[in-house]
Amino acid sequence: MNGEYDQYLSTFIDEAQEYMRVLNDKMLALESEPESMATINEIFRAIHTLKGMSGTMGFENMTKLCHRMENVFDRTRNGEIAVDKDMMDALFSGVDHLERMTQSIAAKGTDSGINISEIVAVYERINKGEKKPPEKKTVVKTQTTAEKKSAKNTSKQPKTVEITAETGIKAGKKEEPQERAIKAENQVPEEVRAESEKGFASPIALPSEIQNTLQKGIENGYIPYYIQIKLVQGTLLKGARIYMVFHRMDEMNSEILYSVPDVETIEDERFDLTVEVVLLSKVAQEKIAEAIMSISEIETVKIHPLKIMDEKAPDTRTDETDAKQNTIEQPRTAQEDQDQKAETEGPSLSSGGAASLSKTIRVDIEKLDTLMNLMAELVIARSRINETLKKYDIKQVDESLSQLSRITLDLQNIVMKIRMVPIAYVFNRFPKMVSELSKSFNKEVQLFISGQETELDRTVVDEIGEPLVHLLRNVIDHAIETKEERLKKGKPASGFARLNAKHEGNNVLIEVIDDGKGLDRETIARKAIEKGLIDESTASHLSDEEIFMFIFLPNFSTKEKVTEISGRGVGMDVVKTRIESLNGSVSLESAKDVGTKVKIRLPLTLAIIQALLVNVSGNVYAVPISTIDSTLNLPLTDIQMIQTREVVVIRGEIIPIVWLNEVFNLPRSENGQNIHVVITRVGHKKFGFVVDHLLGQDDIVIKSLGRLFKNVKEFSGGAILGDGRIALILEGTTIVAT
Amino acid sequence: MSKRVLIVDDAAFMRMILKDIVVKNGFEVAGEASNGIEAIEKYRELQPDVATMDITMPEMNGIEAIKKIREQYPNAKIIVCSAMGQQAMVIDAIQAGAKDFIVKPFQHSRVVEAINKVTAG
Repeated sequence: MNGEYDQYLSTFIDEAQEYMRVLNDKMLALESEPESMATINEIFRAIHTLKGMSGTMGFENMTKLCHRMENVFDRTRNGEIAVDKDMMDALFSGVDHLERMTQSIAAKGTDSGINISEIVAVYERINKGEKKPPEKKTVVKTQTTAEKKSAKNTSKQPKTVEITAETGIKAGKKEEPQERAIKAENQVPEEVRAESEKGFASPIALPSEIQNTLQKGIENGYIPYYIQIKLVQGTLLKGARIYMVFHRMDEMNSEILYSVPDVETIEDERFDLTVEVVLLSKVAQEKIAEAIMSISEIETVKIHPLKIMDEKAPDTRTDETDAKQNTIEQPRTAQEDQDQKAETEGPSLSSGGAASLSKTIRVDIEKLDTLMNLMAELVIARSRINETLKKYDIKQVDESLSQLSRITLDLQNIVMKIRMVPIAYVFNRFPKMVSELSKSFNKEVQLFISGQETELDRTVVDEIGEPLVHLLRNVIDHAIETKEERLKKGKPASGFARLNAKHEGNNVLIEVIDDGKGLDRETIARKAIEKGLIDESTASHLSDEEIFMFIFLPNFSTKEKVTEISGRGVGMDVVKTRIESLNGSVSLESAKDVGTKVKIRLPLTLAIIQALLVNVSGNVYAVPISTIDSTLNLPLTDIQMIQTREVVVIRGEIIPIVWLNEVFNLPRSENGQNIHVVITRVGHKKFGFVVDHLLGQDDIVIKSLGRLFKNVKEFSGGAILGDGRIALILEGTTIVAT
Repeated sequence: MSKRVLIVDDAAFMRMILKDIVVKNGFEVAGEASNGIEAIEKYRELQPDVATMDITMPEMNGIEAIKKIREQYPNAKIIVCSAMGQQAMVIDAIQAGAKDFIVKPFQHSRVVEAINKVTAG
């Protein structure tokens, strides 16, 4: 890698990952709609950009592969190569390689470990056209000819433009000729010239209801346009100026459906010079451009017809349950399946997908961490002032203090929100994964996604991907039966996996639901007894849920037999550990032959947690609430000895106890005849930590202990309390190990 | 033939400024009016190619005058003159039928552009 670009590496990785997401989205779109020029163009552009980026950074393998892929897609764009199965396979594999390279670059700073010779050969073969002539070629050809014809005509004749615009909708977009933008020079409205514009489905993200309206508009013979209006620098009363544009559109019986910024912001003049709108009209695009240019102080107008990416979405997306019912009752064709997948992709485009990227800025998460820390310090400083001033009763100060409190609270909320990203970032890659996996397992599995707009902390989003991949793999590999089995059981031939995300208080609830074979209580119970985890009588007392929790134990069901019968099990302990490390929890519900529901609860953020503050020999420590089972006040005499360990027996459960003062080499304080015990879950076991006092529950901001103390493993961090004292946060795992 | 402009403003000073701009740029001043009622009368009498209309005026304001004139002359081309911060008024005026607006203090180029644009369409 080129040393001088090292500083851009993280930006490169971020952006490359974004392009991977775009590619993943578009590939699915292409699979369902292989003729969509807009999609092909998007893919081409993404690959092209990646090539440029990786070339700049000196990643040769990536550049090379991108180059080959670009060549093929360039020819696809020109209608020389059609999109068929061969092509799609190559594309999936190519993107897969690119993803691995990106990962390798992120991890090791180089892409040289990924072998690309095979995939490059595939692309070379396709580029040479060594395969049977594709069937769709003729269609593509006709389009291209029509487009070329219309492109040759100068756009001065409105008729021609109108035809082009029509084609743009009916035949799918083609970058240069169709998706032209008319750019008129100031004061010379007659001179309208074509300009090649980007092949976005919509350059601005559109809410789904707008997409619905657009769809209806098209059905009623309207043309949806995207228009970008730029005012002359120094325009006064910009709001009124834009109003004139809207007014003019109104006079032309055209309806403005959506604008960026919104109307209110325009009225308040809180925008620079550019306004983007989506318009429904029956008027030719040149006429519209002319009309807008005839208004004073308009610098430029760009207009092009809009194609809705996901036309089927509105009616199917409205009710997912219905969709599910449909899918269960009717045998579905492959094409319908693709539609379904495209559908789940749809909303994400408006919430977190590529389309809205242009409006975001990228900030190093470390900066946000710093901001968060400063914020926390501000909160602490405020409470200290509060504390100090309580002694004096000064009215004026009280007022300004409460105002300060409000502001800091607002600030805190905003800082938290900045760190939030929609879970779509993770969910978006699943449709592709599920479609690939179900192909390789030869099962029919549909994936439904909802709630992908749910936001949670960036760090959590980064971590949650892997466990979810695991769960989904399990669903496809183990839970969903083969087609024959399903039919035998009277289930619809194709199974489903459903991913839901939603907010629940201060948590995010993610559910992974399938309609597979479900867990078998008996098999798991038997296995647990075999392993000596429980005895027969305990087994019969335990609830289904408690029995099912055994599959989260390490090495519980690695045996093929159980895996197959239970339908789950491989690596579930990994999933659980991962989620618990995020201060989350997992539970599951299941019914045999009906399906399984895994519920994952995650905190909205990792930076602030709820903790129980305890006192040990005069020092304050924090125990994360999520790890606490219960707290007890016991007489000293309840402590029993088993071999050399002190234990307490609570509800028949033997719990080892740990004197925290001993762990920290502090004197034991005299506390009379009773001790306070905080029962904490560490992994799958419970331990009782003996403390002097329970001080109460509080929200604390976790701060790292810094480099100097990086060898101190007993604490996961520290937190500053309202009175300025520092509470160290206990890390149960290491404490019980000592 | 040069465009004939009717200038409506209650302030003689503003009319003077506007007249100056209009004449210097090769248009002709058809006449002047100092309130809405007078504006309607003058418009009927002079049938100008374009009228500039101040909003805040005694007797009858500019918006009312625009409405009245447009009732009789649906093709009347009126440019509304406004001060900064009168956005809502300008929008009312456009709804009433004004074809463009210019903002005080007037820039020569803007006035010329407005006259050219509204008379072209």
